[in-house]
Amino acid sequence: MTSHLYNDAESGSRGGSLAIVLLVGLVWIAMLAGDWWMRFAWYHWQTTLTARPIVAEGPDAPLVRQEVKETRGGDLTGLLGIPALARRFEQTRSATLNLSDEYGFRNIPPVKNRYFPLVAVGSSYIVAGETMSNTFSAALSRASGRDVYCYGWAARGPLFSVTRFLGDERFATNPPRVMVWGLVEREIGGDMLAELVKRLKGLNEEPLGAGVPGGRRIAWSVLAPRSVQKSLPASSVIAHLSHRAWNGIRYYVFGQLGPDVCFAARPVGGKPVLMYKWAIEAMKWTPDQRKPAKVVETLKFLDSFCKARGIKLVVMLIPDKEQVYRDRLPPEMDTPESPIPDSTLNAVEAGLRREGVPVVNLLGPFRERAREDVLLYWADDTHWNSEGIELAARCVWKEIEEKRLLDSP
Amino acid sequence: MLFNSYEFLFLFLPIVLIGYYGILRNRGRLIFLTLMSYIFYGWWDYRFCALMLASTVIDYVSGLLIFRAPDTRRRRLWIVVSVIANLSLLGFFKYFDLGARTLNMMASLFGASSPLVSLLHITLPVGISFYTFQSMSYSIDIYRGVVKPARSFADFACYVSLFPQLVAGPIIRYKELADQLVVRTHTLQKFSLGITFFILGLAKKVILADGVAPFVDIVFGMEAPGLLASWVGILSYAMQIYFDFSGYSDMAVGLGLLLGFEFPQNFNSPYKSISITDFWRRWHMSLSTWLRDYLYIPLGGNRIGSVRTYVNLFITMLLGGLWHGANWTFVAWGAYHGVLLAIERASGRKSLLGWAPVFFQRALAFLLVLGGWVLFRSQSLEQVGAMYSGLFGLNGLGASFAATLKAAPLSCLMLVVTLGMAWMSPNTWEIRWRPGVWLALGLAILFVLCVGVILVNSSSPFLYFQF
Repeated sequence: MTSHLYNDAESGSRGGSLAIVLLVGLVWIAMLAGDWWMRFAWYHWQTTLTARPIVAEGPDAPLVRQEVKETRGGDLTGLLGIPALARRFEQTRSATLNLSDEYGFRNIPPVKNRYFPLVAVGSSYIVAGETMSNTFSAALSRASGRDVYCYGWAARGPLFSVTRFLGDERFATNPPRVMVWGLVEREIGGDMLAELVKRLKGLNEEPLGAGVPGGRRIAWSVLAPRSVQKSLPASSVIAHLSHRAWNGIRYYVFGQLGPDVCFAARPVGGKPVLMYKWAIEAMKWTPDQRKPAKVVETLKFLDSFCKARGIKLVVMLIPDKEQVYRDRLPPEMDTPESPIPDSTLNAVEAGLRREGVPVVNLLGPFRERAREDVLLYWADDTHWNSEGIELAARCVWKEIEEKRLLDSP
Repeated sequence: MLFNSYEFLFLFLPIVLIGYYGILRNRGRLIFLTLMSYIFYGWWDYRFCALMLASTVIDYVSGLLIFRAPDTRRRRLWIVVSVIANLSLLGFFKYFDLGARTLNMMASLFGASSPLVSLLHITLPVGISFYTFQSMSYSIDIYRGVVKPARSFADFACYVSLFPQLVAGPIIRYKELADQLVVRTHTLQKFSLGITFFILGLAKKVILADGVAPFVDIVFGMEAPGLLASWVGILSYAMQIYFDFSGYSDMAVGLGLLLGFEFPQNFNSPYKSISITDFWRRWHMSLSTWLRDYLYIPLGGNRIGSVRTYVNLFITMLLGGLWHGANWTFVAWGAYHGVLLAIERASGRKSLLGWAPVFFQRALAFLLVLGGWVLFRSQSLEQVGAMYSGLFGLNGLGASFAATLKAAPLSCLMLVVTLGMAWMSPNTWEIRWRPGVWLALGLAILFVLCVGVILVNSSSPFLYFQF
């Protein structure tokens, strides 16, 4: 049987074989080359491949000045992947001028030799903002009348930016009085955050900025098999197109939405709203899965770690949109068989208050405002809008003022 | 890394092909392939590479010592050393925890309050069962005088680690590859047949096998599946395991051809079997022939009476079952097949329904195979009981499962397609291969489709797309 097939192959048409090799080869090479080219040209993959420099000045400084035209739609309409349907939810983002400082963060330059008594660290929620004056740090700056540095790092998870900040030599010699760390509800879990302790202990042994005079250095951890396994498909343009195509097929042929997005049962402020299914799934985690006590333990460790460096920590607990507008969840996502427990944010807040760690739980103020039918998040996005950012900044400043965190030594 | 992963298709494979065809000398190519195979293997866990190297060194040295031994006694000594070393590696890494758990359970039955042996929670090295069997067959074949030792360590290391067949077979014996390690032909026809096999195998895996997988996970996650769910679940699993495994074998054959190697066939439409005996001639053929030649025949085969033949069949299948995994469900699966093979042998007929039309013979064989898959897929003997209860309707009809089917129309479609293909269509090796523009076009479209499916299932580009 075996040799029969291989003998047949040898007697196959040479022209036909050539057609297979050429056509499949060309398709493969086109996908391969296109994907790798787009990875660097569009996704700026190299910025995740290499560690961002701690110190970069002069011509290598990643200063960005980007004029952004008016856009429509957010991450959820992108995930929906059905343009005709997405249009019903899309909101307009006004044209703006995006800037980054000399160190690549979303601050108005120059920042060099300026002292910032307040620093906001966290993931995309800290970076987000329609314009430069709509970011959380800008709003907190308005509320406090102090300079606030945005040290947000999008799409790198909850731990990345805080670890980088605490290892940043710029702030080691001249620390801010207060560091506000924004933690998003769906990213809060005892086991997830426990990694922070390990990273911070590592920082004590080898500061991140040590021995890096400038420029880029390869982040070997990013090149490790597990990281590459995740980042290569996720930064593939073919993957992006495949998702779009599949979402379209699923909707138009089978009448089903994709696995990521659902519609809110009722509009907010008259606007139809999209919800992120994975945030709803995260709401279903039991206390055994969330482990709030472990979260509190980790944050207490961080608080002590910051205090030893002359920084006071304020933990800002950011609820997910789906938690705030819980009464508008689609009925099929909140069934008696799979009930959604109370938010874990209250338990974490209580634990932190017991331990004397300054904390701002935005769930209460956000729900109160939501009851007035006000939209605090973009209808088409997972992130908060200007209303939400302003309210969060006011709450955080109230905590800082009440605890006199800026005044006391 | 898996063949159906992004990093294999768009990072590893291009490097291998460019490197392989960029090197002109065979020795250089073999060294390069060995190096790449270790990278391929180390992708899971770099520590595994040391284990594979150890296995390679043991059998290479054993092979030389056996070949050069001046007398039978020393030849026997070295083969025993080789077999014990190989089985010790396999036993420790694959079966230590199972043994410890079983011992502790038995001790607790006799009143022991604390575990006798601590579990080591050893990470199972991927493919260890495959390459251990391969390299062991090398020493045994030298002992038997079937083959001569490899020309060099590089040749042998390449044979053991060759990435196309490293982690999921087919189990290739050294004698099948020895000549090919020295001389291989690289023709356009062979290369294009390799592309054909690889893409068809990829499609079998990512479109067909993964297409029915959701039902399997749902049903085998149920505590008491109803009649409908049980049958959908077990049929889906039968299709999943066949198209997954045979797809992977086809990809291995295809990759082998791209590098000039000709691997043996591993599946031959097993669900068209008319009996369990026939099934084992068609399912994972490289394993069943390995078990026949290195276990069943040395045990005495059918040469020492009927009863001993049945016992030998049973022992062979029992150990064959254990080879598949460190769980008593696999042993039960092996025992189940051993008993069926013995019964068929005792009946003296090709099929237990030899008098009936072929359709009924096939149906019976398929039902018996399904019964075995319940044991194979279940995590515990309790789950086995729940599934059998479901299949016999003891958990009720379970009409609510219809809603699950309705919510997954594509998986339903895939189940129908796979059943039709398994029973009615020719397999990859039977399809008459006529290369041409239309086949090229079809393969290119199928490849794009497969890549799309892989990426839809393995990526979440939204996070990176946004920023």
